[in-house]
Amino acid sequence: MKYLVYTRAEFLRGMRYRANYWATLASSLIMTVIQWSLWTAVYRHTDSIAGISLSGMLSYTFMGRVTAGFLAEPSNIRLAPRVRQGTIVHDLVKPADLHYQLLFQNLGSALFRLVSTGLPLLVVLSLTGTLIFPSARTLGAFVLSLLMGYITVFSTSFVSGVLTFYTKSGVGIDHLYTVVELFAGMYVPLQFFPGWLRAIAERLPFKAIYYIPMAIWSGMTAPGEVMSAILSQAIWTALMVILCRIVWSGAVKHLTVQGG
Amino acid sequence: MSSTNPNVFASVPASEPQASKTQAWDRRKMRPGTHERSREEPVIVATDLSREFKVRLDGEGFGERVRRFFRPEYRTVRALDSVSFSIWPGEAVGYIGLNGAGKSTTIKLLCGVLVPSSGKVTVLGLEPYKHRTANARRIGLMMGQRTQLLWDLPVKESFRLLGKIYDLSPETYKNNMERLVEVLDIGSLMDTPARMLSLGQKTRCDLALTFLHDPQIVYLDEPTIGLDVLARERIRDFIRHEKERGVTVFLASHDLDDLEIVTERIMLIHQGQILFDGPQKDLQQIVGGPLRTLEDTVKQFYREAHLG
Repeated sequence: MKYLVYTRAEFLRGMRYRANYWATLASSLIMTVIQWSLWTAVYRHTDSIAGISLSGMLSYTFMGRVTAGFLAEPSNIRLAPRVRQGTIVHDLVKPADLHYQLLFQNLGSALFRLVSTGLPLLVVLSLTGTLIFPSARTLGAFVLSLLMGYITVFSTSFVSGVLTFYTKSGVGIDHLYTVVELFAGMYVPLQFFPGWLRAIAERLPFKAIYYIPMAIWSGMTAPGEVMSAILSQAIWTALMVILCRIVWSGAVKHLTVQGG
Repeated sequence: MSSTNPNVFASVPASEPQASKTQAWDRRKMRPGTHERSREEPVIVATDLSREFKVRLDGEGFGERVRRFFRPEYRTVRALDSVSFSIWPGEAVGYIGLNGAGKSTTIKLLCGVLVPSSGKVTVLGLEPYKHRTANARRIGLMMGQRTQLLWDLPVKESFRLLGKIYDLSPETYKNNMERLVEVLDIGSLMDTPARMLSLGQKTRCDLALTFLHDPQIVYLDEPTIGLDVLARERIRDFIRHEKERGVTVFLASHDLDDLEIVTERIMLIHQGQILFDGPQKDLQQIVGGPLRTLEDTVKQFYREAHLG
C-alpha cells in the first residue's frame, strides 16, 4: 500500500507543531468540562431525554471529544489554490492519484490528532471514571465504524474541495459545513431532532461521519442492531467514495481539456 | 492578438515551418556522430500540435459586464499553433520563447496535463494525456518556481515519499540516492526541513527528486531561476552530466547561458509557432555571422524578425 507513505509523512508533520499541540489539548479539556456541566444541568430534573440517559449522553459526548481531532474537517484539500499556484501539475505528473493521496495524507493528520490529543483525554476520562468502556465486540464495531466515519468526513470535504475549483472560492462551502456537523449529530444526537429533521438526517450520508460510531460506543444502538448500523454506514461510505471518484475524474477532465 | 507572420524571414529556412524542420534534421543526420542516433526512433513526436484556450471577455462599462455575467462571451487564444517536432533519445533541447509564447503549454501537453485541441503528440510511443500515469513513471518534471519538497519535513522524507510512489526497489532507491546525493552534494541537507534551505539548496534537492526514478525524459522549466552564478553553474553541470548518461533533456529557460552550455539544439517558439529548430550555430548563421553569446544571437533574431 504505497499511499501509506503519505500517512506517515503527514503524521510526522503534525509532530513539528508543538505550540499547536498544547493549545488543542487545553481547549479539548475545557470543552469536555463545559459539555459535562451542560448535560448534567440539562438532566438535573429528568432521567431520560428522547430515550437517552445521562450516562449514555455523556458517553456519546465524551467519545465525541476524544475523536474530535480524528473526525475533524480535513484541511488542505481544496483544488482551487492548487490550480491557482500551479502545483496541480506536480500532482498530476505523479504515478499516484491525488484523491487517494489526500485520503491517506489526511489520515496521517487525523491519526496524529487522535494520538496526541484524543488519547490523553481518553486516559483522563477513564481514570476519573466518567468514560465507561463497552464490551470488546462493541469496541471492535466502534473502531471499524470510526474508520468509516473518517472516510465519510474526508469524502464530504473532498467533494466540496473539488467544487471550490468550479466556484473559485471556498467561502460558501465553509458555511455549509455547519449544516454537515448538525446532520452528523455533532451537536446533539439525532434522537433530539424534531421528527421531520430526523427524517432528513436519516436520508443523508452525514450520520455516517459521527452519529453511527458514537451511538455504537454509547450503547444508543442496541447490541442487536450494531451489525445493521455498520452495514448502512458501509453503504453510505462506499457511495461517498464513488461520488469522490466521479467529481474527481470530472475535475481532471475539466483541467486537462479546459486547462483550469 | 493577431499573430505575427512567421514568414518575415523569407530568406531563412526556419521561417517556413514545414521546410525548416526537415532541413534542420537532414543537416543533423549528415553531421558526424549523429548518424547512429538518426536511425533510432524519436522519443517525442509532435505533429501539428495545437492548443487553444477560451478566455472569458470582461467588457467595457457596467452594463456590458452585467450582460456578460449572464451570457459570457469568449475569445479563443491559440497558445500552440500547429507545432511539429521530433526529439531523439539522449538529446538536449533548449526551448526558447518570450513570456506567454507557449513554452509551459508545450510542457504540459508533453506531460499529459493538457489535452491537445488538435494534432497529436506521442512520448515514448504513448499519448501522454491518455496514459498519464504510465507516462508519469518514465518522465521527470521540474518547475523552477514550484518546489515539490515537503515543506515542513526533513529533505530525506521527500525522497522516501517519491521512492515509494514510484515503486522503486530498495536497491534502485539506494543506488540512485547515493549517486544523486554525491553529484549534487546534498548529503548534508538530508536532515534539514525544506523550508530552511536556501534557494540554491532547494533547487539541488528538487533536481535530485526529479531524477530519482531514472526518468528517460526530463522536462526542466526554468531550473536556474533566481540562482546565483555558482549555483547556476552547478545545475548546468549536473544537467549536462545527466544528458551524458543518456537522459533526454527538454530545457526551457530564459537564462540563455543555460541553453548555450547544456543543449546543442535550440527550438524557438513565438506566439505558439516554432520559428527556429536546429543547432545553435545555424541560428547564428541566420542572424548573419557568429555573435558573442547565444543571448546576443537570440536578441538579434527577434530584432531582425521584428518580433520584439
